[in-house]
Amino acid sequence: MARRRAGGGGGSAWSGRLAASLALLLFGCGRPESPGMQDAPLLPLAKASWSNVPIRAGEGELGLDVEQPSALVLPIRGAQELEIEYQASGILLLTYNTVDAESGKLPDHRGPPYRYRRLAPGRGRVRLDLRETANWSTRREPYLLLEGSGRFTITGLRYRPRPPDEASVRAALDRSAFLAPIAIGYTTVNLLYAPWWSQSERTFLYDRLGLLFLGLVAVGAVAALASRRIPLVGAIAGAAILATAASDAVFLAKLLPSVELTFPLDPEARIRENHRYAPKLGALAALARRTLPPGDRVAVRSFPNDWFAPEVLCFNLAPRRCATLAPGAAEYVGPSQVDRLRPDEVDAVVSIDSAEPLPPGFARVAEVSPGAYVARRR
Amino acid sequence: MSFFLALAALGASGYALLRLLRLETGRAAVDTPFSWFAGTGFFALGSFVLRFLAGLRYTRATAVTVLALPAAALAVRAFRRRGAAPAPQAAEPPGRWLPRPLWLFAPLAAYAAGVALVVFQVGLGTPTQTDDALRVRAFAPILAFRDEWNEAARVVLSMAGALPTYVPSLGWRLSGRVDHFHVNGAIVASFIALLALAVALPSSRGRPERGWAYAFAVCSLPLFVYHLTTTYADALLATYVGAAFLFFLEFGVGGEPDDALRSLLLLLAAAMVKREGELVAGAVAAALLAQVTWERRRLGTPFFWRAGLICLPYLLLVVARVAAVGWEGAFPFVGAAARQAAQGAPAPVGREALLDRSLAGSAFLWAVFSSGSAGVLYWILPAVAVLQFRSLAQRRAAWTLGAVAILLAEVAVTSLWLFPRFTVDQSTVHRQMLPVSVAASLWIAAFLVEGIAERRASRGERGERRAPAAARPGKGDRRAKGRKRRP
Repeated sequence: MARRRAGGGGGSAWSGRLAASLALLLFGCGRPESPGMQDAPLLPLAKASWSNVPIRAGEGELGLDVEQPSALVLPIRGAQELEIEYQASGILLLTYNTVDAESGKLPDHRGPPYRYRRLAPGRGRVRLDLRETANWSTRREPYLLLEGSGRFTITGLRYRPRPPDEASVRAALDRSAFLAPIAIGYTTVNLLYAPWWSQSERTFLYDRLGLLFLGLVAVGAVAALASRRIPLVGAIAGAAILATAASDAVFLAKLLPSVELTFPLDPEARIRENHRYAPKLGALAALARRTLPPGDRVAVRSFPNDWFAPEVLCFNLAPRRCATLAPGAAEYVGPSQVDRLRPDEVDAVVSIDSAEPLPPGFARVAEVSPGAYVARRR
Repeated sequence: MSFFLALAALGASGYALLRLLRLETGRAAVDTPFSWFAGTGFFALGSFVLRFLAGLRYTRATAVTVLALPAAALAVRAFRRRGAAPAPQAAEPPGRWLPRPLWLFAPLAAYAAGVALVVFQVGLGTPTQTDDALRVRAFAPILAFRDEWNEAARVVLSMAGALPTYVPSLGWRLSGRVDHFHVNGAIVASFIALLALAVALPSSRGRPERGWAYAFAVCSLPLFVYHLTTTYADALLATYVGAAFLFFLEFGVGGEPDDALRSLLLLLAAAMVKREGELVAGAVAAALLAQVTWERRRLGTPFFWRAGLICLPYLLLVVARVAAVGWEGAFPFVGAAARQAAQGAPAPVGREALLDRSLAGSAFLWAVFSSGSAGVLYWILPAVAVLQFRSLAQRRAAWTLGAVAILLAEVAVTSLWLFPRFTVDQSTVHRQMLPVSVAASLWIAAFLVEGIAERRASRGERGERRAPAAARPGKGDRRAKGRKRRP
């Protein structure tokens, strides 16, 4: 019985999900505030946390200076949600996930589902539902990754502790998975989402909606046989509209919190502001477009094996000729191997997160941060 | 600004083309979106053929020449026929724009309008490469703007197709400045045009219920809606196929020969989107041509002359494509199928590939029914087809359903046989389904609304037939009884 309640197989689960979906649609897609959050004292937390960069710890604050991807593992095993009050400067992207407390193996944080928030400069508060991430369990600890450039300081942290028993764990996981917004990431165009009906029982919402449709059609068909006033085609249409409307409600409720609804009129501002999960890259692309003349031949570079940033930069700098700078190579090759540049042909270098020094003869002319800049030949 | 200039130029050129082919409907609400599809198709074909067959560089002058060609031809025809009496126009039935019952259709219309708004805002607001580093189909128009086609650039062209390559580049060509968001704009404009055509076409013929049902059905495909906000060309292909399918469905209802020709014209445009555009458009064209062949006596010989005239540019397209990217680049799926067939029985196939094939079936079914990429569409489609099987032939809907079936079969063959690995890892199977899903959703909407309308009409007729009987006097009407007794 407990399992059934937790798994969401009964009628009460149906109505609960329906009510939650409607609430999500009607009240701005926000989560209802719920009690049960606990305060985490920051100084002891900072001492027990792990990071790949130095942690700034003090009374009432826990911070990181971000210039490279900076991870922070908080020792709060089984935490379901985090509510972080923070102060941020610069351009920062916060990715959240969980890490196995025993093995300490870091997660593939880019998912799917890829869960992230862009942090606006200044003071702010962000609420992170860790159950929405892949592989959440009560054995795992919160994992935060900060990318970009700037300072991030946690000034207050509250968390929802692990559920008391296994049934509650399943219920919490199922509720969260059902309501989770679509995580727009690198693979979303391939598979938008496959919404769960019950993640713990591994049943999908659309199987349930399909069965609901077939059930409604069966009822309609019986009614059509019993009464000449109800046509079968009308019964099918009615069932189709109801099932589709339910599907649409879920889709909108999950899509709207994920998409960028701001619409700057200036295309340059759209490039600068609307790079969802690469804000520093977007800012650099916009800066380079503004800085470099249309006829420049550009070499771009990033950290070793990063193909994403060079291609984004070259794409946004087109129609300028553009290729990825490979130290020591006789020829640099651009996206889809269309553009090829010899080192002496390069007029400008756009660099992000590269530890290599600038090639001789180039000087910085503009920068987003110390590690993201535009240089031109002197 | 240059995008709106390009939008207007493509629309005007498309309208002139429709007038030239005598395929305009005479309704501004229909002809405006129809002109966008026709104009973009003509411009892409003209620019592509001029560049790769005639060897002319893509300049502002050639772009304007291509745009002006239909209007020039129209003017020449008008000049040659000056003084002749205008051809008589068939009387159009009055349009009806408000669907009935309004309480049912108003929420459906509101949902479609809301989705269109979200697509407009998110689609135009998202950086052009969206979630990819380099969007090949958005890179192709940039290469067209540069007009330098080395071997690697031609591979990009082959992947993108002529339409996504040339249409977004027109504004850049006219203004001399590249604004990446024209790629986003071209896709959003095509979607808005599809919605406008879906609503206006049946409404202008007195069936607004069908129009709004179309709009609701298309907007209820989650992955399609999301894709429209990216610059992947799968949604663009689905949009063109959807527009062509709308005319095919109208041909199914009214049997008007011009609707079949309009559908063929738009299928030609769809064939220029992506490498697989040709196969997808060909599937719908096969069903359409089967229907017109079946009805050849009714349609008459002139119809087939006009159909041939519309299909003729396809040969130009093929020749230009071979000239641009060679035989293998021009027909990549033929090459893939030949390679797959050459592998023969499972023996020479590696263990991994065998595993892929064995898993591909269940992955395909999951993609169709459980993933939600197409909402509940594929639960509804078989139910409608089976439960209303007897009505299919009566309502001439079997041909359009046949088109959907061929499209679905194509996707199944590709997913299960040609590229099973991409089905197992779910990387392409959902995107491939988009044109099928759009066509299937339109078909379901048309079939159900038409079924209900017929049912209501037949009830109305029965009611009318019963009405005089009801007006007959009852037992208590003595005066009438008296009259009845009279000889």
